[in-house]
Amino acid sequence: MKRIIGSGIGGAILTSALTFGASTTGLADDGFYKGKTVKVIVRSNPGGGYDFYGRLVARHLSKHLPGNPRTQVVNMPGAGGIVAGNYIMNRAKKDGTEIAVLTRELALAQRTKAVGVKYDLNKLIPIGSAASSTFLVVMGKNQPIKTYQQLKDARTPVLFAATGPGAGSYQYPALLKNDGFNVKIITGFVGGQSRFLSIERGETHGTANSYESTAQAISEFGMIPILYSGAEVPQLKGVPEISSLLSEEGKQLAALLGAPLAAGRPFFTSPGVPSERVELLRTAFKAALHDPELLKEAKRAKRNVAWTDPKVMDRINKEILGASDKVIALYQQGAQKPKKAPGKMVTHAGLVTKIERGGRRVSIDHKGKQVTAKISGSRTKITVAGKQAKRKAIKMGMNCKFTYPKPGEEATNVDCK
Amino acid sequence: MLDAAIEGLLGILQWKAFLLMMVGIVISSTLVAMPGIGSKTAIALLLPFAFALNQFEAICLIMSIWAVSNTANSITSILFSVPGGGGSQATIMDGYPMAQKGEAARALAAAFTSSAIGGIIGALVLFAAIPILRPLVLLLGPPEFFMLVMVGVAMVGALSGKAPVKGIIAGAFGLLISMVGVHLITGMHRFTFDQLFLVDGFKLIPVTIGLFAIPELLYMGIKGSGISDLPLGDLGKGRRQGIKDAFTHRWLILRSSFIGVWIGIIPGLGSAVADWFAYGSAKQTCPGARETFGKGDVRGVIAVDAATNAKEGGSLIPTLAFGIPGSSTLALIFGALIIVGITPGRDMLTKDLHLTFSMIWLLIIGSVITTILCLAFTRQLAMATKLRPSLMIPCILAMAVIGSFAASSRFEDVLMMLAFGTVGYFMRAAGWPRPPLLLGLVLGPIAERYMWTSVQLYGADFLWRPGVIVIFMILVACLVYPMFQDQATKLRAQETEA
Repeated sequence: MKRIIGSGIGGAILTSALTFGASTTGLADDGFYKGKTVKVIVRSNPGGGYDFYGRLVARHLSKHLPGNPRTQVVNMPGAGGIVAGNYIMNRAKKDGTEIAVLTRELALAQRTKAVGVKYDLNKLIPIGSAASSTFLVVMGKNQPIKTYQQLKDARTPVLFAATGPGAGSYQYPALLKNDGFNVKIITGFVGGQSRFLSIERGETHGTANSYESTAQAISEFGMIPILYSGAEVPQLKGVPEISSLLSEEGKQLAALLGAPLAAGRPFFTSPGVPSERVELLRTAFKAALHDPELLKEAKRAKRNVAWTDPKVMDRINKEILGASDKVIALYQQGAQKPKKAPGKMVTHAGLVTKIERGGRRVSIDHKGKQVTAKISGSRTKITVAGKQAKRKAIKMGMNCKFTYPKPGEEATNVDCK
Repeated sequence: MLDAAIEGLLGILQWKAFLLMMVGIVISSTLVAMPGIGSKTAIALLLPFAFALNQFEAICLIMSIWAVSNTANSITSILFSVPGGGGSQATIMDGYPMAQKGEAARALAAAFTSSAIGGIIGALVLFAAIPILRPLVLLLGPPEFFMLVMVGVAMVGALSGKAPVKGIIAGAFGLLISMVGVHLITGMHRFTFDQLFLVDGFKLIPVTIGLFAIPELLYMGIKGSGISDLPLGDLGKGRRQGIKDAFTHRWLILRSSFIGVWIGIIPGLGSAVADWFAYGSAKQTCPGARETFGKGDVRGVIAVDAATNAKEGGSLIPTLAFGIPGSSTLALIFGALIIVGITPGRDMLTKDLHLTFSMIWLLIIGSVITTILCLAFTRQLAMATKLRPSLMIPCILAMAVIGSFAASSRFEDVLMMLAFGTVGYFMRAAGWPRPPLLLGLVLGPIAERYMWTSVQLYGADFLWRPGVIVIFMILVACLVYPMFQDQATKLRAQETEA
């Protein structure tokens, strides 16, 4: 028995639900769920992975809950899933009639104190996760890098197509870069398709993406997977796991990035739900994910289903929430366009021998060698006789000290006497 | 190839498949045509049914919802100045003034007919492109896309009418508000003031509804009369005239359809850009358009509707060529097709070519059926413009509120719609053109993204790529041609005087 329930023109679409008739009841219960409706909140718009799993679970959960309540899917997109997280934490009913499939990055957002977070994963009650996920680093077939070792030894920069900081397509190349790989990240490619096409055009060499969205590109473009993170996939036999190959710091960061993948589609309910009802929900969730009908549907849609124990989810979340500040700082470097790291600076001093372009380029005689520095009007700090000055104040014959990465580059400090 | 074409046709003409196509068309022309409800939502809801269908049936049900949604989206644009979807904003520009002039039936008929023809052209281009699909998609990279978007920016001039400075300011304001939200490339929050709902930025649908529908409601209330004061005349005649208009301007339809197809091929541009491109180019190239566009010129409606429907054929090109969906809607469609055992990718052009053909046939047959269906109701629809305001205003207001809310289920979007309604009212009252604002909002992020990527890849040298130079020359031609045309008209006028 299937039917679409809804009210009003928009309502029919927004809050439509697919309900299924009763078939089995198992656990002892207080009859609470009989005649009730269980809302499944989905953290994104209709369409896409979270929506698929939300609706899949909604279709099959009811059979396994005593009393066979109806289920209703409500899409609640916004702010990368934070809106749905806040809702289930603060505004949802606390009687076990609302569950939510939330973003797997929820814990990271809380740990990094993202704007707008009003939920607390220490209080939200995990129900289980419906799938695990795998992330891949792939390279195009028409470029020289074909293995992890070649990537590590690359002399010329290897260009990675990425969406932007925060996205996995950025985080993984950033992780490699942080470990000293010669990697350059090209951002602004939205969606897997534009990244794969860019590699095919030869503009970039590789990218990082989830296995589900990359499987097609591997067969279609002959993309070469060279690293993976997260759950093992039989098709990727022989591909090395990323964290085993990195430095200690890299390992920690990889663990932080990889942790959410184990619980790729996490379901939660509100704090304060009576524990016996949480038990009912957890049992029903587990049973639904082992239901042959659900598995058949998922298989036909080529979606993986893997039940994750709520205890494991708790452990993962604690791990992320307890990550050291240093690792978080590294993560955030990957989440925001890093400012140019202050590399090693050298200082050279000597008499000014040449001033070009109104003070934009100044040369000094450093131990008999001519060295030049670029002087920026805004970034270079200039002092003349101990006082802050403009670059025009630098005159021929002054004795100046440059602080810069190397001759010919922009100076951070110029002190003249 | 002929075998595959026939097999594909027969496949979708089986009674069950055909019936499901009709179901899809009806859902698409009623529910999806409502503002704020996109085909994506409808497809996501129907996804479970795919488990029980065979391949042709699934194609018919799922794809028809998407393929024909543009046709009926024009209805609310023309009648109430409320865009039915992202691709029918530009339909308002001339469609609504036509409705005000009592020509609603003509405008609707012209929109539906050109939409059907556009859809067919899109399908034919897809068909013709099959042998060269892959190189075609790989032809252009981010630098070329950036320059193409700049062509769109150049349209601001054309869309501003007689107030170019106001137009540029409105466009700049659109650009400004397009920057609100998470900056995709750096992850920075821009102008969000720590407000969670601003993190997602200003959404196109609430802004459009606010800018175009609310001012009309206010005016209607102030005037105390319905949408159109003029007699409707013979509605049957209006409908015939509309159909005739579409065929009279067949070259315009062809031109606009090609624009639509091109925009479909480029990943990341989408319907919301296609309609303005087509409208802008029609305004710049049609004789006398600068005087009459925006005041109810049927050509403005024809160009837009042909382009938005032709776009769908184009957007299938990258999807079929590489098996990687070009938009989230197509990703969802192909997710549904995977369920019935259709694997997008190379096979679609060899082993499963008949399925590709069935999609092409679906685009053609679906467009025609939808148009006939819509044309059948044109008279009833057109009469809505005669309703008295006390009935009309609450209905449209409800539509505007639901439409704004439905796009992403956020109450804040309704407030945003009302705020932009106020902005739109004052802009209209003071003679400020509103389309450049929308164009800025739509094109701003796209232009920024392509430029960012281009500079990272090639530095400033990206401007010297041959493709970029060619497109730049097209841009210059777009800007110069109207001036040249004006000059020519003046000269001719002088000659006739002399």
